[in-house]
Amino acid sequence: MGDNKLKEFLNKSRELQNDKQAAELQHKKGKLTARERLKYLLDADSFVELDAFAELQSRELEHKKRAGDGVVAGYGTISKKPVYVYSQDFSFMGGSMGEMHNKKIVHVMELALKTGCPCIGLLDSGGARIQEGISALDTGGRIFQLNTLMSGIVPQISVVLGPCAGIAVYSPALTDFIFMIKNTSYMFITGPDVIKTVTNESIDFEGLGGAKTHNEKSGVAHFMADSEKECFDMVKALLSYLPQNNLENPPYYSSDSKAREAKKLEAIVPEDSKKTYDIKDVIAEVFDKKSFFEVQPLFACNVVIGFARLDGNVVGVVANQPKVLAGCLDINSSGKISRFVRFCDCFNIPLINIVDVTGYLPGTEQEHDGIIRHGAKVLYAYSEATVPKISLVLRKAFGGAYIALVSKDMGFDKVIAWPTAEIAVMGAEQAVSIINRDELSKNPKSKSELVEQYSEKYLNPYAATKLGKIDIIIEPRNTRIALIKCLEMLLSKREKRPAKKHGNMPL
Amino acid sequence: MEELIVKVDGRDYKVFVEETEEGKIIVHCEGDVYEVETKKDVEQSAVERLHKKQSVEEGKVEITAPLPGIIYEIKVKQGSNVKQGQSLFTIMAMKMENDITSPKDGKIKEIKVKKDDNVSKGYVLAVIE
Repeated sequence: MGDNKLKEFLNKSRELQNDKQAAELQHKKGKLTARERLKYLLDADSFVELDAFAELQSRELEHKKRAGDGVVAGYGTISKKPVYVYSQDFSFMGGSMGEMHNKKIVHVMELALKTGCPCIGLLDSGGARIQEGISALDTGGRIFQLNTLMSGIVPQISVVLGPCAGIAVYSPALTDFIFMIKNTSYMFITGPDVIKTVTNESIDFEGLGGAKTHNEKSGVAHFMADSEKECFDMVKALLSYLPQNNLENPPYYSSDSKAREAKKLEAIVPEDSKKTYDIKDVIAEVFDKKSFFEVQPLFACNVVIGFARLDGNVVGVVANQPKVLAGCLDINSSGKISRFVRFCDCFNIPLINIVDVTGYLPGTEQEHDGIIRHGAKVLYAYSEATVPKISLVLRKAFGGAYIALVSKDMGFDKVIAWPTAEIAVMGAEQAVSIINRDELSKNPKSKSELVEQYSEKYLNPYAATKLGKIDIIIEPRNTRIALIKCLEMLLSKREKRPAKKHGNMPL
Repeated sequence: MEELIVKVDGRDYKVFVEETEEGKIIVHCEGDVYEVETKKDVEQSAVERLHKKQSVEEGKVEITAPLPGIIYEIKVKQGSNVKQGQSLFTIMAMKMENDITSPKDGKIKEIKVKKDDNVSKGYVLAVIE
């Protein structure tokens, strides 16, 4: 009798593994099933399923019941390191989030938190399961709470592989990184139909909340892939830079010579500070070969952020991109930098800034949209970060941008400058027209002479070195070697802060 | 094919490693053949693909000023054929000569500014077809 029951149970379990109905439905749309996705993402045979037989509890929906309740949850390994995962099954009631469905997700999240392992959600769901009423909503709230508790303890990654609408969008939004797929992923609070009835505005799914929209315009997503498989490869690549939790160091992996001179730098960066160049060429030359993994490559491109390796150690790079909007700091790039800096600080990833910028973007649009409070985020994030912080000044570092990205008094541990560095409150012409206003009104012709005097006196790294604001001035070719030495010296850095519940970051 | 001696758990194994034309790595060891995927390859190709992503616009496109500034140089004429990524204008702003490049291959239909014009953000500089 007992044996028969066990046999029946195991048969059912096998059936679940091989869900033909789901495969047909998903494959028709060019998508993988929930289980196929996990198979591709995780190391072979590493997946262990949890709560496979959980099913919905509501009596009215008795006829719809299916084991698993529309989500496959469990744990496995990626590159031999344990991760917790859940994968929503769109073929069952549109992947909708019912009570048991949510509880399964919560279970996996709690285990990730307890064991200090990354948590990866593969999302493909139409939102809350309306038929189940308020209990479906409430358990959803528990997911948000756990997302928040886990934040800064284990890395959380969301991969949006289909629709993600209504309240379902907020769980990914609370995680560290969001991946989306071109033409198949959508995220929005209200869909095109509702928008049409309320505001009479016509827009399609892709334009409203597709991968492109969220990667380029809204900055909600961090990565865009062409296909599901490519996306999972990107997730694996990202994980190779991250520690398992906030108590570990990121994985070390050396692939480049420590003593390599960065010879191309002089040719890449023009000496004339009015000329632009591509900062990504500089990054490629300085850090370990091909190690730069850019985050949000399509959003606020005036600032480039991402993970790289320097003599095998993972670092977070923040660099101005002179090619786009003169590399200025504006509202979008401020948000982009701050969130990245805080992520790196949570997970013991040292920060390296590459600075070449005149400052925050002037203009009414920026001022009225709140550049003051958004720009303050950058100051807050850097001041708060206790990981090693190194700043490299290539050419310009003026005013507010200097304080935000370079200032030792604000907490940068080490500042390195090229001989072409210009560190000042503002550019020569603007400074002269303020300082020498009286003189200029009497004798306007003296301007060029005054500009030259100011430039000679202030627009070079030597004046700043005398004040101890810059530690060393180096030849560009020695940049890589100098940064490696700084990092080695700083890797053991520990900094204690006064105890508090939490700060009140400008948002 | 390369011959290597690999020590695993104190025992020496003689293995032969070959790289096929498709870049796959095949390891022969004591009569068994294994296809090996290096961890670096998977990650590397993902990183490289990330760098290649670029969007191409289609149809008639208006070139607008990405930031407020002064038109410093106009590098094309009405009717010129341009390629994607080619520099069309430079705008002097934030103490820099900012290159405005073409988002697509096409023909300049109209240029709406002249040298030394003051432009605000979003101002239409040219139309490409």
